[in-house]
Amino acid sequence: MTAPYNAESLPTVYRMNGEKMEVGWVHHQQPCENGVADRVEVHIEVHVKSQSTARRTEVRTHVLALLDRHSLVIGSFKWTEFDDDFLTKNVESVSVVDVDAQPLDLKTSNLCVHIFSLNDDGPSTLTLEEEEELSAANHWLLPAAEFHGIWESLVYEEGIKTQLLDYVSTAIFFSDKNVDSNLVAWNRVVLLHGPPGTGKTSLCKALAQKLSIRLSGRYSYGQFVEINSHSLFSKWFSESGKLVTKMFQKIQELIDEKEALVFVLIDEVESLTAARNASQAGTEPSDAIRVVNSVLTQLDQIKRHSNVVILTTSNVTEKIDLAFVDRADIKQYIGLPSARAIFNIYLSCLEELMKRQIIYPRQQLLNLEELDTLDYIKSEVTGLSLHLQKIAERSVGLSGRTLRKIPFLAHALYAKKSVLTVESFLNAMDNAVAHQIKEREKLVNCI
Amino acid sequence: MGEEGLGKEVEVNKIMTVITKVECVVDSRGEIQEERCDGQTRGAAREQATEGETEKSSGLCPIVPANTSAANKDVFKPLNGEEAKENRDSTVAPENQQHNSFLPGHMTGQQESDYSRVCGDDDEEIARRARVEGRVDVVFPGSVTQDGCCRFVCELFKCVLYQRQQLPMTYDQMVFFQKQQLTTTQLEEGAVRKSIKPSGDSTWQRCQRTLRELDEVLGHLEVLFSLSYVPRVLFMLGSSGILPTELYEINMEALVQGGSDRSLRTSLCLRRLFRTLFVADLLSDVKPVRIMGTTVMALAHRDCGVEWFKPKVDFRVPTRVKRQVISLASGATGSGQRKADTRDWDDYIWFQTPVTVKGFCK
Repeated sequence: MTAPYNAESLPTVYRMNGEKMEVGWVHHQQPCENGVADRVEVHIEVHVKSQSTARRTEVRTHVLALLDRHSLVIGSFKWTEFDDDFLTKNVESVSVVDVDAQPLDLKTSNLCVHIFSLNDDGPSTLTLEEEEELSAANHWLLPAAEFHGIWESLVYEEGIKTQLLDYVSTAIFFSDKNVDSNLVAWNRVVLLHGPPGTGKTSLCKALAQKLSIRLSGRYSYGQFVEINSHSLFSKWFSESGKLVTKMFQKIQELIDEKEALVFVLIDEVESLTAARNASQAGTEPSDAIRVVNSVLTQLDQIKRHSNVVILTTSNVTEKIDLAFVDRADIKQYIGLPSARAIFNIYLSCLEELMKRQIIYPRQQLLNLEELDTLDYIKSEVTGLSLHLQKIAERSVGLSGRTLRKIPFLAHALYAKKSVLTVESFLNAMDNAVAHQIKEREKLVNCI
Repeated sequence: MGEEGLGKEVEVNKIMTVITKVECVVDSRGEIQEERCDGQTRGAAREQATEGETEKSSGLCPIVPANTSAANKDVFKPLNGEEAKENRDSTVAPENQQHNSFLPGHMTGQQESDYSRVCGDDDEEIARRARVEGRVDVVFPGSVTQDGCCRFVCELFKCVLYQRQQLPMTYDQMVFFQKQQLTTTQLEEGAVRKSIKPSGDSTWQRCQRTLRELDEVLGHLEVLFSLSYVPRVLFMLGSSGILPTELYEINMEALVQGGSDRSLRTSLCLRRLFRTLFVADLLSDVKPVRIMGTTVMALAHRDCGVEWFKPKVDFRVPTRVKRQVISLASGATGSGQRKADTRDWDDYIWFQTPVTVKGFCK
């Protein structure tokens, strides 16, 4: 490979000047020479069309011009239509993300423009043995089209998402700066645990997607490896440990590419690590113990590399091997959504159905902040929103996965026609929630 | 199938008129060869005629009989293809004596000796380089046409697919196979066809599908080459673009391109190319290779306006995989010819084929 191409494939925006490399980090109070350290950090995500061949620098110039023309935004905002031909041709959307819902003057803030386009290739598989068709891991190039929009669709308690994002970016930042880990201890292992259906796996994917966009200045691309833990157990005695080693060798190959940020997702990690206790009780063959040991040591191995983030999820925290829990630095409990979160989930569902004209005519629903300011007083304007809020309160206890199904169930079971008004749809949802709760009770009684 | 199939054939033939030229197997039995050519294109035959007399003996078939699983016997049986296959080896030999003749007259002595040193009268050196460095250098004694570059890439692509065991037979055999199948289906009208169909037809369908994909890629490569200068092309075999199982690069940066009047004949260059490749033994492997999907990446100008390909602005050539490089270069440059390295490389980005050519075996 010759030099000119190397340079070409670097994101042009960041190649231009060194300090742009720091964009992702400035909110960690990086000393800034140009005196903008006290300015608010605002992240702008620019989604470039996949067919576009425009230079990133050019895109950046046009986006900055756009932001200059429309410099006052309230909360998160997304442009999808532009008055600029260049942007219309090359850019899908420009969004101001992860800011508080307050008026914001972009001219006085420190803008971090992240330019990305999606990879629509879909997952590829990593196979461990040549003749084996079964894949041991799925593998995505980030930012992936498949993961687009997950981050926005996940609704949690205030701060969980941003905290996680800040945590992981700090961890990567520390590693990148070569902080001596003997003096300041941290690692890049994340454990998300909580009841099923709360979006742990989705959150992992969304987090990886988000970080790969945010850190595109430091790493030229991201990779996401989802390990199928069952594939690590071999039918041959004593082979399982070797499979684990092989798997991590593959991952090591990816990590060796220093320009890539690698996310390794081990879903349902208890299936891997629960085995050790069981084998001590004599119910599991001793081979399983080797797998766990092998995984733990291999994790320690790859953890040393600064461009790796290990994401794990689990339904049952008690069952996970203590040795593993201890290795994870951030252990985030992802609980069932609160009434507020449920309201937001429902709101997004209804918005989508109105957009697709399944609910017609379109009626404006207020969000919780607006309801707050109106003190929840029943009136013409708030009637529907208050109804939705009641449904949300009754739905507490259902998982996020179930909640996203409620509008579908409402339509399938209780709507007698294909297009409904908001009011009749809310009634149908009411019934669907009652039905769902009854179903759940039955299930519990059976056990 | 009848009429629709016929339409297909016409379509396929049309594409091939554009992209292929007959690489006939040199065969003592002329009539066999003719029959094979017939299945391909008349346009190509015309081209051949205009290109002159040396063309007749061009042993261009990109087959190096190293493929262990080259069980093409049943395809070739009616054609006595066995002999054809054996003859292929011998076609390489006469070329050896020929190649001096296409050294341009204006070459200086120094250049000439350079040339023979680099471009390999030393077959051992070529083989060693391929083995140790995974690299084959082919030096042409002059400029080539843009069209020629496209031909090199297309022929190499067919060759790589066959040699890496993604195709059970060569491209030309597949084309022939398809034609033969079409004729038989036309002969068996109506009800009779149905009873025969289930048996051998899955191979036939897979062959058709692969051929369709392959022709699509080749056709669009042709378009890309007509729109932009393409200095590098990658063939990526295996599941992903990040970690392909096998990676082949065709590097044409050092090729000097010129107009058709002052450039070398493409057929001669092709022969040199495949001869070197054969000597280098770059592509053969004793181990059986899994069936994989193959993606083609091409470096082209960002504003060339090609539509079928997906631009990959951030693509970087995988460095973790062993890369086999086939490097084409022009040994002697005359004045007034385009020198490649004056370009602004910043304007060149990778384009990826939106389809993968999925191989098949019998």
